Amino acid sequence: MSFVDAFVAFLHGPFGNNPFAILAWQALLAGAAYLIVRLVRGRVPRQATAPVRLAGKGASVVLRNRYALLLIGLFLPLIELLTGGYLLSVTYSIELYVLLAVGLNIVVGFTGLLDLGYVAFFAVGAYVYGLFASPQLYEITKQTTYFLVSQSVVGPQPGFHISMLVLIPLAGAAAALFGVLIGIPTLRLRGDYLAIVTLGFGEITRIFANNLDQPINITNGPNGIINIDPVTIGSYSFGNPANHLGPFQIPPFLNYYYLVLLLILLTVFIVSRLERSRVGRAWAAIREDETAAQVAGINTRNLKLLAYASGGFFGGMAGAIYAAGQHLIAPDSFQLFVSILVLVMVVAGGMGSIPGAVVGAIVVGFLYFLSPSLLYLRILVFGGLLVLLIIVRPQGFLPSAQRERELEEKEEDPSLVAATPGPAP
Amino acid sequence: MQRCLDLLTSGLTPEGILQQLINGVTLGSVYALIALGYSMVYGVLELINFAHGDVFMIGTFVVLGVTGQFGLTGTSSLALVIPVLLLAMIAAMALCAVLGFTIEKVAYRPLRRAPRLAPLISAIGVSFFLEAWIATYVSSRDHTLPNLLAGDIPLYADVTIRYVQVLMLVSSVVMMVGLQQLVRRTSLGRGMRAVAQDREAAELMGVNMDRVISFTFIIGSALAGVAAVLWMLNYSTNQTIGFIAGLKAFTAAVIGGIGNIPGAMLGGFLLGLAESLGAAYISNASCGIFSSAYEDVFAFAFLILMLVFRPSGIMRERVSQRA
Amino acid sequence: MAFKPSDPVLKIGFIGMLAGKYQNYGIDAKNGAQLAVDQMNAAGGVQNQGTTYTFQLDPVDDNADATQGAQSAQKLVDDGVVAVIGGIFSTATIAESKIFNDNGITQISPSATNPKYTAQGFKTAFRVIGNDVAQGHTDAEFAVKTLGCKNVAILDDKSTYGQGLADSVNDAIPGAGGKIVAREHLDATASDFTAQLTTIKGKHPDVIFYGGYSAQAGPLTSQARKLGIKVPFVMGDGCEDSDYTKLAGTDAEGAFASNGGPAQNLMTGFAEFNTKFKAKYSVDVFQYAPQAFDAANIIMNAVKTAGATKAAVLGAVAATKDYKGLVQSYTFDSKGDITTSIFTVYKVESGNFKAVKAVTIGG
Repeated sequence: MSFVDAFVAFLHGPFGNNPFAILAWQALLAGAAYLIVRLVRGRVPRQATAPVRLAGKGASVVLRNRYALLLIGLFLPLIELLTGGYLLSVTYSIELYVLLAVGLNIVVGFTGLLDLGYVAFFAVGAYVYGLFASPQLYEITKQTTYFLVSQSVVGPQPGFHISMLVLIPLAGAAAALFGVLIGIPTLRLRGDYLAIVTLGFGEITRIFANNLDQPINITNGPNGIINIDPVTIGSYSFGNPANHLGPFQIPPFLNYYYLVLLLILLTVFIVSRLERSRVGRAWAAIREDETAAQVAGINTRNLKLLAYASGGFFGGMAGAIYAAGQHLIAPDSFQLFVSILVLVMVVAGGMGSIPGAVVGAIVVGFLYFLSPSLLYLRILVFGGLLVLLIIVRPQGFLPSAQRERELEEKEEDPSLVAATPGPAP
Repeated sequence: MQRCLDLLTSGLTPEGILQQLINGVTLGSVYALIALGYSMVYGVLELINFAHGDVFMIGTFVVLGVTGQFGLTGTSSLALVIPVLLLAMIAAMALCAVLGFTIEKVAYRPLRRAPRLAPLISAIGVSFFLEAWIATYVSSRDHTLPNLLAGDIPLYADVTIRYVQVLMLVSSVVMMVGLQQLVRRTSLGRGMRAVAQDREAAELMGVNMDRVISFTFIIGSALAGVAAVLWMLNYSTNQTIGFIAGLKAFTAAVIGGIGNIPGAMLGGFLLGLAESLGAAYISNASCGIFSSAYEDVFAFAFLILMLVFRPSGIMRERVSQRA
Repeated sequence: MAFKPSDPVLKIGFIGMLAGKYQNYGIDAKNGAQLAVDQMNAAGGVQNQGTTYTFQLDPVDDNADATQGAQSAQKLVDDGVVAVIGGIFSTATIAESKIFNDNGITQISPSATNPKYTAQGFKTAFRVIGNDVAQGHTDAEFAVKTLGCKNVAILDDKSTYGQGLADSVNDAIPGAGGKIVAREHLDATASDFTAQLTTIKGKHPDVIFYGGYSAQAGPLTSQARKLGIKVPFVMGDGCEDSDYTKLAGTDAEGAFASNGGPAQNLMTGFAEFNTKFKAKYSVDVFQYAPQAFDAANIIMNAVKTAGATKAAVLGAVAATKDYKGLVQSYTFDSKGDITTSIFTVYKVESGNFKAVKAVTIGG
C-alpha cells in the first residue's frame, strides 16, 4: 500500500492542492521524461522499430510455454487460497476480462473494426442468463398476462431455471445475434464512424436495460435482476459455500475460476483456429484494405458480420457466467468504461494477437482491480497509457508475428500497404 | 386504443410546445458551438477528436474558477457580472485553446501516418485522461453558477424567454458566422480548405500543414471555451459532462454534414429540438411504452439513422469516402 | 500479525464508496463507525467471559459497484472481520450481502434503503434505517396531508435509489388522498431537465416529488424556477444535504426533504457526538455518520453479550431489542429491518435544512 501512496504523492507533486501547481509539476515530469528518452535514444521514438522483433519473440515465448502457463493457471488459485479468497475473486474477474479481450480482439484486432460498445454483448449475455435462471420471468407473469410461465418449473423458486449447459451457449448465441443486428446497419461505415456508432449501441443497450421495467417489467430497471441461480451441474451447486472436497472447503469463486478457465482454453483454441483459417485470412485482408479485399473476391459483408457474431458470442458467454457468479446484475455494471477497459487490454497486449489479448487482460486487469481506492487515478493512468502505447508501441507488448510485419512494412514504405494481400499462406 | 389516442393529445398545448421549442434551441445552441470544433477538425484531419468534449468540460471548470474568484452571487450588479463573465470567457477560450493545441501536438501529430484506428484510440485515451485528471485534482462533484443575468421577455401566455437564452442563441450564431468568414476569406481559412480537400497536394502547394492543423485545433477549442461560459449560465457541470455533450455535439456535426460549418449549427439546433420534443412527447406518442428516461437514446438513434441513410449529412458539402 | 491471546483485537469491516462522485456518503459513515470504535477502545474495550476485546475498523472501497463490491466483500472475509458495517448504496450492498451470507458474517447497512436488500432471505443482512417503502409513505403523507397538496407530480432519476423511493411515493399517494398528475423520469447523466419540467408544468401540480440525489436535484430545482414553476419540491434523504443547498443556491429556499432518524437536536447525545466528530475529522456530519456509529456499537455490544465468533455476533445482533443508540432505539424484525423507523422532514430556510416534522412508523 505504501508504494501506491508514494506513487499518488509523486504524481500530486510538492506544490500543494492548487490544480495549476499540480499541472505545472506534472508538465515538468513529462518534460523531464521526454528529455531523458531523447538523451538515451538520440531521438524520440515514433514507432519503435528495433524492439519489434524482440516483442514478436515475446508472443512466441508465451506460445512455446503454453503448457507451463496452463499449469500455472491450474494451480494459481490454490496458492492464492492460502491468503484467503480475495485474490481469487480478483483473478476470477480478470478471467472474465480475458474472455472479453479475446472476443474483442476478433473484432478490433483481426478484422480492424473498432468496436467501442463491446459491453453490449456482455450485457446481453448477462441478461439472458439472468432472465432464464431467476424468478424474474415469473415476476413478470404476476403483473401481466403477456407471458405464460408456470410455477411448475424445476427449482426451489418459481420462474425459469434452465441448466447452464443450455444457457451459457444460449447467452452466447443471443449476443452473437445481437452482433449481427448491430452489424447490418453499420456495414457501410468505416473507421471512426463505426466506432462512434458502436459506442452508441453500447449506451443504448444500457439505457434500455435501465428502462425496460416499464410498461412490462422485463429487466427490473435500475434495480437489476437479483437471486440469479448459480451454475449447477447435477446436484453440485457452484454457488454453495459449503461444498467440500475431503477436508477442504471449496469456495464458490474456485468453482467459477475453473469453469472460466475451461472456457478460456476452449475459446483460445477456437479463435486461434479461426485466425489461421480462410476466415481469419479474409479478416486480415479486410483489416488491411477493405476495398482491395472486396476486389479480391472476399465477401466482406458476411465476414464482417461473422466477426461481430463471433466477438459477440464470447462476450455473451462471459456475461452469462458473470451473472451466475454475481447473484445480481444491474445496468450500472455495463457502463461504457467496461468497453474502454477491454480495449486498453487488447491494445496493450497487441491488437490481433491472442497471447497479447490474454496477457494484456491479465496485466491491465490486475492493475485495475487491485486499486479500487484509486478510482480516478487509475483511469488517469490508463488513459495516459493508451496514448503512450499507441504512439510509442502501437503493436502492443506481444504482437502477432503477422501484425508486426505489417507495421514494419508500413514503416518502411507506405505504398506497400495497399499491395499487401494479407498474410502469406 | 382510445386510451392511447387520449394520451397522444392530452399533453399537447401551445404553451407546452412553444416552451419545448425554446428549451430545445437553448440546448441546441451549446451543441452547435461544440459541434463546430468537431466539424472543423474532422474536415481538416478526418479524425473524430473524442477529447473535444472534455476540452469543453475543462472550460466549464475554468469559468467556475474565475467567477468563484470574484464571488459572484445572484444579486451581483450587472456592472460586475458582465466584465467577470467576459473575463471568464477569455480565460476559458485561452485555456481551451492551449489545451487543444497541446493535445494535437502530443497525442495526434505523432500518429499522422499511423493506421486509421491509432489516432482514434489515442483520442479516447486523452478523453479519459482529462476526465480523470479533473476528478482527481479538481473535483468529482457537481457545480453550478448562481443565477446570473436573471430576467426574461414574455412571449405567449406564461411562456417567456430568458435573457440568458437569447444570449446563447445570439452568440452561437455570431460565432458560426465569424468562423464561416474566417474559413472563406483569410489565408488561414484557405489553407484549411486546401488541407481538407487534399492533404498532400496542399503540402506540395506550400501550405504549412502543421500550422493549419494547429490553428484548427486552437480555434475549435476556443469555441468550446465560449460554449463553456454559455453552458454554465444555464446548466451544471462535473467531470463527465464533456463526454456526453461531446457525443451529442458530434452527432450534431454528422447531422448537419461533417466538415460543414453552417451544417454543424443546423445539426446542433435540430438535435437540441429532437431531444426536448422527444423527451417531452415520446411517452404520449408511444402510448406509454417509452418514457422521458430514453432522452439519451434519441441522440444515438438519430446519429445511427443519419449515418446509415444519409452519411453525408443534411448539408452535403463533399462526399466523404469514409462513411 | 500475531494475536496475543490476552488482549484480542477484533476487526469490524466497513464497506462503501470511499472515492468518487458519492464519496461523501461513504467517508461520512466510515468516520462515524471509526468514532464509535475509538470511543469503545478508549473506554477499555468490551469484556466477555473474562476476555477483554478491543476493536479495529477495517475499511474497504466498493466504488458503489456490484463487481468491485463482491471483491471487496471477499477481502473483508479474508481479513477475518466479525461483522461488517455497509454498504452505502443499495445495488452494491445487495451484491455484497451474498458474500457475507455465504460466510456467516453479520452485515449492518447504515443507509441502503432498497426493500430488496433484506427481502432476499439472508439471515446476515440488517439495516439501521427505515426502508424506501416507509420513507415513501412518509413523503406522500407529508406532501398531501401536511402541505395540503392534492395534485402530485413525481420525477425520478432512474437509479436504484431514486426510482425505488419514487415508486413508494407513487404507491402511497392515493392512500393519502392525493392524485398523481404526472410521472416523469430523467437520466442522471443529463444536464438539461427542462423537457421533463415543462411537461410537468403543463399538468399543473401542487407539489413535485423528486426521487434521486442532490447532484441532479440542485440544478433541477433551479431549472424549474427559471421555467416559472413555483410549487414546492419534496425529496428524499438523497437530497437532504449541503450539496443541494449549494447547487440550487437561493432556488433551494422552501424545498422539503425527508431523512431517516430524528433531527440532530432531538438525538440525545448528538451535541457531544458532533463535537467529537468535528474535532477528529474537521468536517460536519454529512449524513449517515450517526447511523454508522450506532451500527458499530450494536456490533460491539453483541460481542459483549455473546462473544467474539461470527456466529455469536450474528445471533446477538439478530436478537437486538430496544438497543438505545444515538439516533433511536433499535429492534430488528425477522428480516433484518428495524421495527420502528423514524423520519424527519426538513425544509430549506436561509440556506440550511431545518426540521419541520417528525414521523414515527411502526413500533
